Amino acid sequence: MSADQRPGSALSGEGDAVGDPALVDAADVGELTDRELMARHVRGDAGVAFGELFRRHRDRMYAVAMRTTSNRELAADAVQEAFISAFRRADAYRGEAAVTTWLHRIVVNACLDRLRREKVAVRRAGDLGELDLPDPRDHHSAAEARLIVHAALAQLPEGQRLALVLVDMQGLSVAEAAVVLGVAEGTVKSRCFRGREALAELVGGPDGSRFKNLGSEAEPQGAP
Amino acid sequence: MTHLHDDPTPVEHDPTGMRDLLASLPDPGPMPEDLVARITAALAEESRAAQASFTAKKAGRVVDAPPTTLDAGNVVPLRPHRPTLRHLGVAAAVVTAIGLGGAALGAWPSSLTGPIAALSEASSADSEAGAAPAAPGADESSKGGDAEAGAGVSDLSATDRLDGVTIVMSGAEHSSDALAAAASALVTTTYPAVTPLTAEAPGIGPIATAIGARTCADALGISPDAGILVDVSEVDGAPAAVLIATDGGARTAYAVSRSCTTGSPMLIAGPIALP
Repeated sequence: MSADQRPGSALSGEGDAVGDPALVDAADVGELTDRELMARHVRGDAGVAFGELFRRHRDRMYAVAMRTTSNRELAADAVQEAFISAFRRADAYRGEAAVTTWLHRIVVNACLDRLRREKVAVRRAGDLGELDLPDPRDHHSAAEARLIVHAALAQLPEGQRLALVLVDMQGLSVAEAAVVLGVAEGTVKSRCFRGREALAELVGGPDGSRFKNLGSEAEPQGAP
Repeated sequence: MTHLHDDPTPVEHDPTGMRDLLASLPDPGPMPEDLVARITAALAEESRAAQASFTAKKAGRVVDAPPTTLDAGNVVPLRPHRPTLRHLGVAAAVVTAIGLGGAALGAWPSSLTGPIAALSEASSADSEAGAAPAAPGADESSKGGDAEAGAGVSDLSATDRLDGVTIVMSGAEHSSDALAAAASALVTTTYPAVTPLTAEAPGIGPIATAIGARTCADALGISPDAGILVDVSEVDGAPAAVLIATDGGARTAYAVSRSCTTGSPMLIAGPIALP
């Protein structure tokens, strides 16, 4: 998302001019860097700076939440919690990593929190069944094949799945993913390698050749 | 196949083809408009709460605590059709935060009162903002103390309010492999006054409350007579809690998920006997 869009609309509820009025100046917020927006938000600016951050990063954070949870409801709840947490805890941002990396970390943690709670709820409901992975040797449409890949991804250990989501799907560097996950860069690489190998085993075929060109159709709603 | 952590192979190298496969999956698309509206409304509420705090500060009142996830009145509710754990957790948290105030000190060092006071101050700030009604236990929490002044350190350490549960937020990122060392540090470290509720995770579950902590302890088979210290923090990079039970002079540490509750302790590591 480009940063040249004009800011100020995200949090402009009726009569909510809050914070120190002397600091409220939305005119130039779109020109500020993420770090500058964070600093401004911490000083207090009626939520204008954070509104711009939300506008800039919401789609990317929603994407990582969707890819982490594979569930629209969980992703929505998690990303809402994450942005609220980031709003409240902006003073904890030290500027050592990019703002987007910091946000990724919060979103991923929120997703994991949600997933674990959901797992408990499902267990309590007595639904202990696991997803049956379709036989990859069968013929599948592109949409079905994507579901297979998503289902296979969901079967990977959490660490490997998160590494693949961040590095291979979200396009983060190994260093950025390491910050998000709170592990060493070597650990991220190791998880990526192992995750890919495990995924290849699950989807059938050492090179994933059965599932080429999966992006030619729209993303299925509510992927598993 | 084993990959060493210092493997020089670039992460882009992928003979399995899975990297390209994953990259070819379509993007989930932009955030839905209804979710954008929901979060926007929630953030606007946050701004209003911040303004209330700002105004209170200008008036000379002590409202240092930011609104917390326990403050249901300041957050646009999430979807109503996912009620179970969230509602239980929030209910427990609100009741405890307002009714019981900060957890009291029993077998724990008095230096831990800072973080506990922080929790209580957070709930106090929420109440001042009119976020939540008084809970039935509110009267109890003011016994022997100055309710109008808000719960401070001295108030929290009053011996007539001990329930044996202490909740702190060290901000540490623990490792399940080094739980014993982490737990030992928790019980010996002197905590300065901290910014309230600095947990890494956005949602702080019921384990951050006295009732929730005791429920988790019960799920772990800990005696109800044991003193409980809970550090709401991270374990292995994920939101979790370290729970230390003191029973008959013996200390035992556990790492659990923040969802730890009756019938589902969600044990990550432990029990480990501490020296």
